[in-house]
Amino acid sequence: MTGLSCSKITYTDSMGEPRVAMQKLALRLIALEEPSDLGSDPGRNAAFRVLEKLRLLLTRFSGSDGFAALMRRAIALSRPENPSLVGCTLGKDGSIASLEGISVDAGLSLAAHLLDLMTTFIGEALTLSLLADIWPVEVKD
Amino acid sequence: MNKQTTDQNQNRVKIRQIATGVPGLDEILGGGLPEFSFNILAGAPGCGKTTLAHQIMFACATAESPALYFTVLGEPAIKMLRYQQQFSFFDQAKLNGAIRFVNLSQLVMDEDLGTVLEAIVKEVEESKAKFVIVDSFRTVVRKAQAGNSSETELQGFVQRLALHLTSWEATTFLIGEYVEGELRDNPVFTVADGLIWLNQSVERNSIVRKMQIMKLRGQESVPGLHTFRITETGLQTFPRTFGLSAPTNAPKGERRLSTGVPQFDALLGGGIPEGDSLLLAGPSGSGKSLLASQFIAEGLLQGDPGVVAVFEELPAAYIQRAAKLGMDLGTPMEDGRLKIIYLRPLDLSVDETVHAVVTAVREIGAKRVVLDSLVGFEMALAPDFRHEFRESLYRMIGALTRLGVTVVSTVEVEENFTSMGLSNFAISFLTEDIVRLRYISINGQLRRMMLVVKMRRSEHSIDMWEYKITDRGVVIGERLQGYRGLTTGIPGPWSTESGQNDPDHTSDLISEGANES
Repeated sequence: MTGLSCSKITYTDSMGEPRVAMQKLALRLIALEEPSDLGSDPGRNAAFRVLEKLRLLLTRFSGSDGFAALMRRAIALSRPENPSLVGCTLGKDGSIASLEGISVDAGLSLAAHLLDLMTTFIGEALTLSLLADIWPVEVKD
Repeated sequence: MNKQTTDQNQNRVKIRQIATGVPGLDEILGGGLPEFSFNILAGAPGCGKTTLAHQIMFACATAESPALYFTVLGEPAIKMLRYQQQFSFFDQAKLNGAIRFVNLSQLVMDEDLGTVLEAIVKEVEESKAKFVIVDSFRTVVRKAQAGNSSETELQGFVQRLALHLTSWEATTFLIGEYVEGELRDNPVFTVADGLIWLNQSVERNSIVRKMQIMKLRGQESVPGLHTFRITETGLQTFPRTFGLSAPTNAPKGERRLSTGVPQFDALLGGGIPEGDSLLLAGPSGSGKSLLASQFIAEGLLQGDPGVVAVFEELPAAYIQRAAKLGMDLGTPMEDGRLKIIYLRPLDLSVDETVHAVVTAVREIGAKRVVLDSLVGFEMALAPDFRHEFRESLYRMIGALTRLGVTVVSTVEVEENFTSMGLSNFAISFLTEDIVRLRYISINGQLRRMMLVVKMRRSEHSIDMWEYKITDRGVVIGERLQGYRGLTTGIPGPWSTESGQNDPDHTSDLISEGANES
């Protein structure tokens, strides 16, 4: 058969895991936050501190509505693997209304999905460039 | 100039001009962007305002002179970054250092103009920004108007914003979607130092983008509409001055350039005067392109680099055709003495064509240029530019000859057998020299005749000559004598009984634009 050849865009499972690189990046950011935490659950606190810093960063350049929209999407993507996010709601500024009952894995997943979304929209290089504003140390492996 | 005037000039503040990084724009602005100016970038959606602002910002912003880009209820910043990074000017290394984005949407939605002003001023002071962009400022204005702010309040806000930003030594761009009807009595435009208007017009299937500097305080910008194109490198503007506004020392007629056909040179009075523009007008198949190729090939032999702009065939075909007639254009192409440029992008403008030719001329130091052909050129133009083809050609040929190059253009003439038109465009006044080629019917044969119609600065043959196209190029034959009505293409034998007793000088009509449609 002679026919037209065409390239196709293949969509990956949009409700799947974030890319491994973004999971690693999220872990690295959490690790960078952990040393300053003297509380009882440093991993969990660090994860949410990463999310809060990402909120401040993204709100500054894309507005609270822009951040909230990305965060809602990140929650939707994380929820299937993290039941603790089922009741999670967001404030007007896109921050998580209550951290009660949200697991450390859920926090990690949210951060990873948020980073994944940023990478999808603006590319990895630009995402890392923006992150460097908060975490001036090298964040990439 | 007397001493007092000289002293006054020396004591004036010098407004530094900032290079915008947008090809051609500095010339349009009259040298660059005035430092600390407060400017409006206006136009309809999709005309390139945001891209222009980004391009200028990325060119100008440095760690020492950072830029702040405020986004307000327009394109979401994350999408703006997604799209703008596709342009080659987008330097990611400048992000969050030399360039920072700040979103003001919520503030504009929730607060009054005073609070918005405070926020902008605070950000500028903290970041020590030297370049400030507000995109879209129009949304700030709309919000103010919807919130029942009076025109005086709005003008006050704009005036205070301009005052603060200028005092902070920032150069500012406010971006807004405006239509021309909004120009009058608009407080934003009143306060602005500069107003750059972008516009895109649609005619038939083509879109043409144009830019106008409607206002620019403190310096003389180039008036009129300048075309621009948006490519992966960003905006490229094509100033109407073609980048050739400086005085020229180009040689004019100091030497004669051989066309590669010695007998033809003789008809021209010794060749084409250097710096002239010569028009070869004739019907299809009359050898216009061949003569033009011979002119270029001879130049290459004489050490004159050349540029050929073709519109109807690809460079490879042009070279191949020349090769069949013994002209090697491939080698000089390879070693950089010849450029053959094929110009057929969608919606071509005259200014863009000149830019391409001028760039090629400068790159290789060309002395000879061929435009083959003006008809193909016109066909390649966007419909919007065809209306002004004659005026544009005038500017184009003037610009090229200012460079000191000698231009040979070909133009196809629709042949008829009642009169002898010089072109379909009534453009012959544009050129110093005109040669008309035409078919004539003699003794049952369709033969070719050549006539030098005009040489502005020199004597030339006024006779009509037969010529042939051979495998060695154009060969001039005998002078056509003993015929009357040669210029009609259907000559008859000269007869003293007809009352025309001067067979050496034709009285046939040579009418410019006789075929003009």
